[in-house]
Amino acid sequence: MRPISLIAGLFVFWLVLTAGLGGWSALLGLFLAGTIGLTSVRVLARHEEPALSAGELVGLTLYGFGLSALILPAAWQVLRAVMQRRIGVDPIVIEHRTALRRRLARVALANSITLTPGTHCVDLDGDLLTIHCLEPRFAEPILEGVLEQRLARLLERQA
Amino acid sequence: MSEFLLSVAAALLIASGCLFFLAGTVGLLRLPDFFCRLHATTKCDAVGGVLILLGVALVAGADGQTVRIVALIALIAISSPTAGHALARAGWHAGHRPWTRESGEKEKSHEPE
Amino acid sequence: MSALLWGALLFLLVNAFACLVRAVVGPTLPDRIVAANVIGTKTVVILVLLGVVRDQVIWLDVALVYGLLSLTISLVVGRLIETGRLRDLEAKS
Repeated sequence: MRPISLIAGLFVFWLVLTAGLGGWSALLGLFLAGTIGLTSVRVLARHEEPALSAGELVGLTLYGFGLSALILPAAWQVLRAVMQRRIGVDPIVIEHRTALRRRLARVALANSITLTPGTHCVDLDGDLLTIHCLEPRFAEPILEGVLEQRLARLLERQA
Repeated sequence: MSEFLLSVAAALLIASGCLFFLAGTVGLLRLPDFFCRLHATTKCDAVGGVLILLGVALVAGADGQTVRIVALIALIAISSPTAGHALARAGWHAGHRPWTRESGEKEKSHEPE
Repeated sequence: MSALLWGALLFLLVNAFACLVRAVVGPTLPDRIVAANVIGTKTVVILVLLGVVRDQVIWLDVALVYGLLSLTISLVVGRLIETGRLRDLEAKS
């Protein structure tokens, strides 16, 4: 199942980029997409994750859009911090153990942390997140686990 | 009329994107260490790039351009945090420890000697 | 409109050169890589602006390939800094 969806995605990408080049190009694209898809599934997919259900996929997409609303204030905060006459950063590194169990959920959490203001995920090792904060006050929402709860509701409802 | 509104929106998007890119550059030059610089570049570059490309997509004329620009927007939105994570992790495991206020002041007081 | 696009293009070019300063000065190796990565993103946007200003689609294809390569370079160099080698994907786990 997995190689088929991967190949389909690659083929659509090819069609988008070579729109209007005719049938032979599409045939070549199908061949290339098949080769790349099969090869990369064989080489890369060693850790099999349970596939996402459709509902989870939709939820994750919505969550992604929510995140993109979050990144604007994050960039704005960096902009303000950078434009001050004296750089007023006071970086600290915190460690946070996440309660999320699925690898996918953990990766999503790490990405969320990077995109929220003032925090940048440095390392994700098992359930231990290492986070670099520009100022100590930015660490609070992460330790409270706001995003974590939202992700848990989204991806780990059955558990 | 609507064409005028469209180009105004595009101009606004492009200008704000440029502003964020400027913030990224200034941050890269001014912030004290590698991890802080990553903060600036990961966020500001992703936002700036996406904003500018959105603005450009509004005014792009020839067919095939808009599709490619949308693909590029997705590419930038995905690649910027990914590269940020990879580099932060690389620096961390290579033994670079983040700058803190104390270590910065210690360095400063050592400088005159 | 094209004046604005040219302006943004030149502005980004100046920005990219400013980032080059960090790549040359930057005390540690990761600093330089970050600067290179940022210049890559800026170059992608510059290429898109060029393509739209001159109304040629080919620049956008170049930008796509450049962006993908730039991402690959960041990932590979990151791994190289982290582990000191390029192969051996399963070294840690």
